[in-house]
Amino acid sequence: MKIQNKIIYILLTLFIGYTLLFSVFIYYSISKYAFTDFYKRLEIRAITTAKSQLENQNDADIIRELRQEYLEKLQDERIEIFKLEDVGNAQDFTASNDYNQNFVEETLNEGKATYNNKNSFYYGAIYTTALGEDFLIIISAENYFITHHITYLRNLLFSSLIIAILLIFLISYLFSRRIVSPINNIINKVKEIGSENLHLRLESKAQNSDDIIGNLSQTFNDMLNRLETSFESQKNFISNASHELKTPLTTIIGEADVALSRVRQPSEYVESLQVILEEADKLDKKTKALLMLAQTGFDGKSQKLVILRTDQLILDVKDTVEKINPQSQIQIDFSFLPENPFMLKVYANESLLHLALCNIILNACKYSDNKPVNVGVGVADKHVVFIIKDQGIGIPESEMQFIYDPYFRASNTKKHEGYGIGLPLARNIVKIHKGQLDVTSNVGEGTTVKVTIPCAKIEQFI
Amino acid sequence: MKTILIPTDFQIKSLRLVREVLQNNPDEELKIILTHGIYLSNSITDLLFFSKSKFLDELVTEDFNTSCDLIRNTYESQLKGLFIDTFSGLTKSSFQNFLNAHQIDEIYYFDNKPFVAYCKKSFDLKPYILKSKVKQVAIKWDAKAQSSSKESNQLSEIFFIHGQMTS
Repeated sequence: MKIQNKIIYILLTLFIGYTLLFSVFIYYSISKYAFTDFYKRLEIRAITTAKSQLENQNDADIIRELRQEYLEKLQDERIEIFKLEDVGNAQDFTASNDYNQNFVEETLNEGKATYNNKNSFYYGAIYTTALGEDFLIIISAENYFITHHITYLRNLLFSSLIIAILLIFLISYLFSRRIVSPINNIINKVKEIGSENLHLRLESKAQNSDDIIGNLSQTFNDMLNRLETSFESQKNFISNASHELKTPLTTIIGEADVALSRVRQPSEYVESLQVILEEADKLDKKTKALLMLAQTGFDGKSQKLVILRTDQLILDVKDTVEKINPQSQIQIDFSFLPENPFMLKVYANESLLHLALCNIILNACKYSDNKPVNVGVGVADKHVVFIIKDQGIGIPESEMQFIYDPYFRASNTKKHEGYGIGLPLARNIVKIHKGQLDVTSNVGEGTTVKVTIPCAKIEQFI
Repeated sequence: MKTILIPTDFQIKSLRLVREVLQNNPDEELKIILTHGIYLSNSITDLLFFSKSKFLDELVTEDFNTSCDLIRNTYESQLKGLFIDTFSGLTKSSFQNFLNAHQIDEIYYFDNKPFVAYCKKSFDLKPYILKSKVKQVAIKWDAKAQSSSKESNQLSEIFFIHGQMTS
C-alpha cells in the first residue's frame, strides 16, 4: 500500500471514530435528559392537580390559578384520580383501565412510578391529603420533545458527521501529501544519481538536528561523498599512473633500444645501464608513492579517523610529491606554526588527507611547470589552515564554477596532461573531514588553494 | 608589558607590521591594539543604535580575522592581546585621550605606505600619530614586496613574506 494512502486511512478511521463516539454520546445524553425532564413536568402537574382537586377550597383556588397561569398544557394530557380504597389490587384495577399492570403495581408499592409506551408517558403517585385520605394519581401525556426535537437532533448529527467525513478526508489527503512530498523528492533525486554522475547531491536546507528529512538528505550526501571519494581515488590512481609512469618507461625503453641497436664498447653499455637503473629507480619510487596514495581502503582496515599532526603531514606530503615529481620545488612556510603544538592536531583519515593534499600540490606543480610552490600551515581560531600557492597558469574566472565537476578541465590546460579528477577528489576528502576548500585564481598569475580542517580539541597527549 | 597601537586599514598585508613588532620585541610581553580611523554617522538615530562589535563585524573580513587568529596562536605567550578598535575623533587631543584611555606605550606605523581608504568613511591616522606625545616607531614599508598587481586581500598574503623564490 502506498504510504500516502496508509496515512489517509489511519487519519480517517481515527477522526471518524472519534466524531462518531462523540455524536453517540451527545444523542444518548440528550435523550436521557429529555426523559427525566419530562417525568419531572408530569410530577408537578400531578401534584398541583391533586392539590387543587382534593385539598380545601382556599388553597386549591390559588394553586389552580397558578397552574393555569404558568403551566402550559401538555399534548394529550390526561389526569385521573382514584381513591386508593377503590383501587384495590393492581390486577383488578388494570382490568378496568388500560394502564400497564406493572406500572400500577409499582406505584402502589413504591408510592410513585414512571412508565412510557412509545410516545405516551405515564407518571403515577400516591397522594395523601391533609385529612389523611390516600389517592392514586395517574397522569399521562405525549412527549413532544422526544417525538420532534430528538429526530431533528439525530438528523443534525448525521449530516454533520457526513460533512466531517468529507472535511477529514480532505485534510488527511492534504496532510499526507505534505508529509510524503519531501520523501518523494528525495527518492526522485536519488534515482537520478548513478555511477556516472556521482557528484550530484541532494539539497539539504536545514542543518539543525530536529529536521528528520533534512538529516536524511544530509546522511545521503555524506554517503555519496564517501562513495564518490572511493570511486575517484581509483580513477585518480589510473590518471596519475598513466601520466607519471610513462616518462621513465619511455626513457628506459629508448635507452635500451639505442644501446642494442649495434655492438658497443663495454663502457657505453655500463653508461646506458646506469641510466636505465636510475630511471628504474625513479619508476620504483613513483610506483611506490602512487600505490601508497591509492591504497586507501584497500588495506583491509576500516577507514578510521586518527589524530594527526598537520606539520608532520605536510612534510610527508612534500616527500611523496617529490618522489612522484622529482622536479617539483616546494617551499613550506612554517612561520605561523602555533606555540602550542596540540593546536596542530586534527582528527583525520591520514591516507585520505594525504591524498588530497598531494593532489593539490601535484596540481600546483604541474600547472606551474614546476615553478616553486608555496605551502603554508597555520592555526586560526579552531581550524588548521593550509595555503597552497603556485605561480601557474591560473583558472579563467568564467570557469571557476565548474572546477569541482569531475572530468572538467579548464580551457587553458591543453598542454598539460590530466583527467580533471584531482580537485573534486580533494574537495570530497576535505568535506568528509568537515573542512572547507576554497580556490582563488588569477589567470597567468597563479592559483591559491585554501584548505581548512577543524582542529581536534586536544589539550595533551592521549 | 607594553601596549602598542598600530594603525590598520584592514588589509591583510598590513598585519605584517604586527609580526614585525613582535619580532622586534622578542623578550617583552605585548598588547597590541589595531586601530582604524573612521568617521561615525552624524545621524542621532544611527548613533542611538550604534554597536561597536556589530560595526567591526561589518568592517572586518573573515580572512582578516583568521589572520589575526594565526598571529594570536603563533605568538601565544608573547602576545597578551590583539584587539581591533576604531578611532572616530576629530581633534589631536581626542586622539591623545584615546591613547591615554588605552594606556598606549608606543605606536608603530609604516613610514611610507600610501594611505588607501578602506571604506568611504575611513581616514588616515598618520597625522594624528605624528602629533601625539607617545613614542613613535616608523617601520619601512617594503613596496617591492607589494608588487602584486591585484589587491586581493586574501589569507595567503600573510604567508610567504620572506621573498617568494623565483625560478
